[in-house]
Amino acid sequence: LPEFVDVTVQRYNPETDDKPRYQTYQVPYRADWVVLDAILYIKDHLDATLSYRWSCRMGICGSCGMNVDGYPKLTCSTHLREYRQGLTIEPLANFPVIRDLVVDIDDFMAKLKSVKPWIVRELEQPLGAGEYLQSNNQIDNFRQFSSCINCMLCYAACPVYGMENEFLGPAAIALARRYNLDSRDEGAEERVKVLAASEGIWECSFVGECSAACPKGVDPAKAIQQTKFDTVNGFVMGAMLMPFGNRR
Amino acid sequence: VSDAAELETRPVRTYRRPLGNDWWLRRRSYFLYMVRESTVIFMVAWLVWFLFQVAALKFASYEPPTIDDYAFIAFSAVCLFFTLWHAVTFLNLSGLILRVPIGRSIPSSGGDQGRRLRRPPLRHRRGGRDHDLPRLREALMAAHEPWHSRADVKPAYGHSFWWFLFGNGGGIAAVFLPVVILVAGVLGPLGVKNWMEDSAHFAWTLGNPLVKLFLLVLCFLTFVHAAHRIRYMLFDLGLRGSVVALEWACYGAAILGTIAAAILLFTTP
Repeated sequence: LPEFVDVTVQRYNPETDDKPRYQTYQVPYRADWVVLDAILYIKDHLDATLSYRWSCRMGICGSCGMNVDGYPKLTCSTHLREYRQGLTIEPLANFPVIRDLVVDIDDFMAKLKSVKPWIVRELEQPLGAGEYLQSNNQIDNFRQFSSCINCMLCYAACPVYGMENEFLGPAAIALARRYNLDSRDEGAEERVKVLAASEGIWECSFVGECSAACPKGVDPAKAIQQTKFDTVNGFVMGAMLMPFGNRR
Repeated sequence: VSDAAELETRPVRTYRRPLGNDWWLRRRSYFLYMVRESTVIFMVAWLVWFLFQVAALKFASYEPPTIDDYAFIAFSAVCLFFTLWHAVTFLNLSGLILRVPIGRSIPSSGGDQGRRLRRPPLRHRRGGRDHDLPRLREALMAAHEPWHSRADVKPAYGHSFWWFLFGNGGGIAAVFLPVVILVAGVLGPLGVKNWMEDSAHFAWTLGNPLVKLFLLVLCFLTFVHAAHRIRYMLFDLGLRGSVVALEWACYGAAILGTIAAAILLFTTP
């Protein structure tokens, strides 16, 4: 006997719609299905016009983030059985919607790049000198921040980003922090210009929902507050110890 | 022009759902955040009441609150409750984020600081192949340049200054303010002997310049801490027209309050 679950999906066609509308589909209920399976079922069997992003189905590519019942989730890692009474799927909040469940991620990609989330060296050491060594403690320092998969759930959970789109945002700052804490990296001074700008860390009022929403256990809220602390500390120490020092 | 080329150049009409000013009512965690931030209102309210008592002492009209002042005891109890709420949340969060950096402003390592691993001599500079990229990027960004790609983007020293005072204020208020409110606001009126039990004790206590200094620092840091949180709360509630004006109003009020407190404390015998 087939059982069904009502899946309501936000639809938006930029060529015909002025604003999104909702459409409900009856999807067979399977206890081992994830929400993404329900969306795939709709595409394959009920409505081929539905647009959405997905790729790996194992919670590592970061493509299938959507708002499920109003909260940002990776749909490949969220079970259908948690929503036995039916569910509403919307595109990630706070981002411009291109079509149906697809959002425009250009803003995030540009911000991510602006904080140089890669190892910056003043002088690159030659290959012949061997690898850069790190102790376990040094790796533990940044390990949790390096789990970020750029799925942007934190941006959808962040009310500050929703109110002020200029805000640099949780993931970008968490990844900047990840490289600032890396013993091989020397780019902190370059990153601080963007990080500590008005639209950077100072926009954050520490609601903390980014860390709650993160599917990979990253704590962006912590990264932001730590960056505030270190930045202030740097300014204060710089002003006290080297008041006439060279401010690069 | 082919269909594909036409599709490429057609502007995409996106839709963005506005957040709305009632977002903080939509989730329990958002609401608790708002409660956490609004604790400062009660902390400031009690300190303002206290400064009025100093003024009363100055003009020889001080009357200590008694056990019959139900309204005042209730007011103090509510203020104490939210001040403790502030203390617990603030110290919890500080404990989560606080690192004690030694030597470097942005530490590149924590556990192993000081212990240097093998780092061979460096020979050559990073390659210069990408010398044309900045010009290319400039051309691409000419239409709309986001703030983070501007050449003159720099740290906001003003923000860090106020955040520095905000952080210190939160800590100082979390540690000292609950005690002051408990003793002078709740236990005092209930009959426990304390430094505000009559004008003689109050004047004797305030006669010590160190006490004056302590109270002034407590007022100053609590006011700035509150101004910072209220500035963000008002922004959250929809006052987003001019952040500069908002900051002038909030931090300005904190400074004016501190000046008033200084004048009161240091002109009272």
